[in-house]
Amino acid sequence: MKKIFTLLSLTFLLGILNYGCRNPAYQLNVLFDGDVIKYKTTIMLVEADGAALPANLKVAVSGQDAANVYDFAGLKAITAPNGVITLGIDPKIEPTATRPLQFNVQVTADNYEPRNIPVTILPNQFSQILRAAMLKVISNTPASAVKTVEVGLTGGATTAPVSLVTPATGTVTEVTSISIPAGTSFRNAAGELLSGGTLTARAINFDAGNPAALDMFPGADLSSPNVKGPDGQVGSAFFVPAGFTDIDMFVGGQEVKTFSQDINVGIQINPDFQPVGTTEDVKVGDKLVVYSYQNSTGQWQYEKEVTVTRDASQKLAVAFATNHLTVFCVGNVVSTRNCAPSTFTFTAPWLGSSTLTTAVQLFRMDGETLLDEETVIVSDGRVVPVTGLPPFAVRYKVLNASTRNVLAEGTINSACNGGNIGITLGQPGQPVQQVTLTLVVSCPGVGPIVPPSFTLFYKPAGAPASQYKLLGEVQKGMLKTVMLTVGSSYDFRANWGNQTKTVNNKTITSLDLSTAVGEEFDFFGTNTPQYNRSLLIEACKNR
Amino acid sequence: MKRHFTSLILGFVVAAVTGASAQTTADSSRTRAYLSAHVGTSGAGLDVKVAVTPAFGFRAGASILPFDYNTVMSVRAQPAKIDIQADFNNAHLILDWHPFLKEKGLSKKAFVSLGAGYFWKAEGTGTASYDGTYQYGDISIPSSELGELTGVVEWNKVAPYAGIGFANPFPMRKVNVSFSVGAFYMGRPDATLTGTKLLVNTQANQRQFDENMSFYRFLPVAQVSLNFSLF
Repeated sequence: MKKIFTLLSLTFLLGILNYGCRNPAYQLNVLFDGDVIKYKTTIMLVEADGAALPANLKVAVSGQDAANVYDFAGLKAITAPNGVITLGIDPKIEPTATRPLQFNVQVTADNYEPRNIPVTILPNQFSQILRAAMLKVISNTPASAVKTVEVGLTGGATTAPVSLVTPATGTVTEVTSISIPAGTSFRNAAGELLSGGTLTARAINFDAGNPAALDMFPGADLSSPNVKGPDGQVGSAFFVPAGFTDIDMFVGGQEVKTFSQDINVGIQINPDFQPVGTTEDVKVGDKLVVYSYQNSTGQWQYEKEVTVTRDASQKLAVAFATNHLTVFCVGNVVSTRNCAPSTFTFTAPWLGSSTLTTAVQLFRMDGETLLDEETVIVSDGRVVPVTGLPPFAVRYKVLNASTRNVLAEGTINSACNGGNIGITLGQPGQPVQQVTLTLVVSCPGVGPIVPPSFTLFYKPAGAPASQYKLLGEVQKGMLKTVMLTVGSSYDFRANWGNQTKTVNNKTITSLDLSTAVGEEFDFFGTNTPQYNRSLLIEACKNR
Repeated sequence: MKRHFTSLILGFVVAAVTGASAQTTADSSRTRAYLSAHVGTSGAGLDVKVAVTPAFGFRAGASILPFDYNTVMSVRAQPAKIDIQADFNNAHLILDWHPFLKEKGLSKKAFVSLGAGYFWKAEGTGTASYDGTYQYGDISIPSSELGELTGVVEWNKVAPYAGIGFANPFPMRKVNVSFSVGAFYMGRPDATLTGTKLLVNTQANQRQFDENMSFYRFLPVAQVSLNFSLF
């Protein structure tokens, strides 16, 4: 009995001790959410003429909040693989209503006009998509015409009047003309006289009436947060251009910024331009304003008021003299300094929990003059903060970005007054398919992780790369969209840091598609297993 | 399980009643009731012990165990600051049986215990936070911005108890010491794990934590009692 008691006691004690010995933290992973970046901006660059973008795009960020800007991967060195720039704000930084985040993104490439894209991030504006076109300075596009001349100089000065006129093309029928008086010498940005035997002068005239020119307008769109008005104050403003032109000159390889005497500029304007506040086309005697733009600072500056006349070719035009070079815009500029940000709230119960990439277009009240087109990923109930709306009534259209079918249209009477603008998206005639793509990333030695959010592009399988369109944002490894069709095959592309991942000819076989990526899973896509593994290691870093 | 436990208790009661008549009366001077202060792994508390017969007695009392522990440890190679707080507060009724009264020495003092406790508090909270700076690309994120994992574990309110111990069945002194070991069976706890900020996605950890805590079904008891004779 005693032995049994002893044996039972020992067994009892050992059993309890052994049973409770599991470490509570056994196989627990302190896995940080990959979605570290809270505020994201994506800039999609396109080539103005539809060609492939150059591979040597350089990206730099400047401005008051530049120090807090990284790419989606948290890297300071920001790149533009496939023309997509991903920008993320340090998660410790939050915009406020009185202090939105502001910075500028400069994009340069050889033989292309530099771009300076201002970015403003409002509270709760967790994601926004901007678009800008890169314009090759040596060729015409449907919305621009370029002319370059080379003139010999003596002692760094012109010996005779120099005339430069941009060509009238089949699509750009207005021209810009420049006249440089004899005896003009040239200075660089530092004010130093330039010495050289040859002046290279180039003017690019844009068709302000062509919606394609919007992507080429300095900045990202017609609104700018950095405008020095006639009162000398700097603030935001909305441009309604009747014409704009970009003039560059070089002497001895250095860029000309100022002249020893004024040069004369004549810009033929869009004859269909309707001055703000009117419903009639512009006419002789109307007053317009000229603003100049410095790409290096991203700032517009008031130059002067001009009167519309008919030039020698009987076209409506404005003429003015200037002593410096830059982009000039003529038209109406309306201050938005006192405007409050608004919100768009989208209602689309037919979307379920899916997203849809849309194009939100703003028109003047004529319903034809496009003022802005923004790419917006919508879902039912999504609230999108908006800034940069014009301070006058506009019409809007919301299009399916893929099919271009109109989903909603209406009028915004007071876009500048803040508040909410409700937009109900009409249900398409055919039932939509909600396709779910789930990406599971399993890190070696760690297990499944929550991958960071990224933007996913798609195109029909085998279509040219220029047809890649934004499918949506993959958040926490999942994207649910109505833009894919079961039974169809697509090519998918995503960027991470400076790397690109493509998955070609992927057929949507069911509404719920999950793809696992990890050492123990099959690698997929067009890249080598080693490349895929390197992406995996990158995603699993520090996890 | 409940039925088996009830049967055991009944068995002990029957044994106590029948055993009572079998005991000698030579120890009529022994103490029959004590006030007992105990301290051990289940906390500190007080009991009233009553010896119904030389072989059988019961104790009724309460224990409280407040627990607070802070440390820095490595969780899968990640330095983590751990803060654990737990409270096990119970009222209990335990039957003690001395099966070897006819033996000599230590054997005579051995007893077996069965009983149950009502835990008005049987829960633990553990908080883990990354103890260092997390590097996301070129972004350094201090631990204060990373969030924390909080695990909450709750056990059953009523728990059966079994144990063994050593106590003098015929103490003549006013004060004596006894020792017991055993365990409350707390059942499988409800374990939840939640995260904040960058640790908000805890689905995989939640499952693992629940499994880990399922091993913690016993509250081990090893305690020393100081007994004061009441009469």
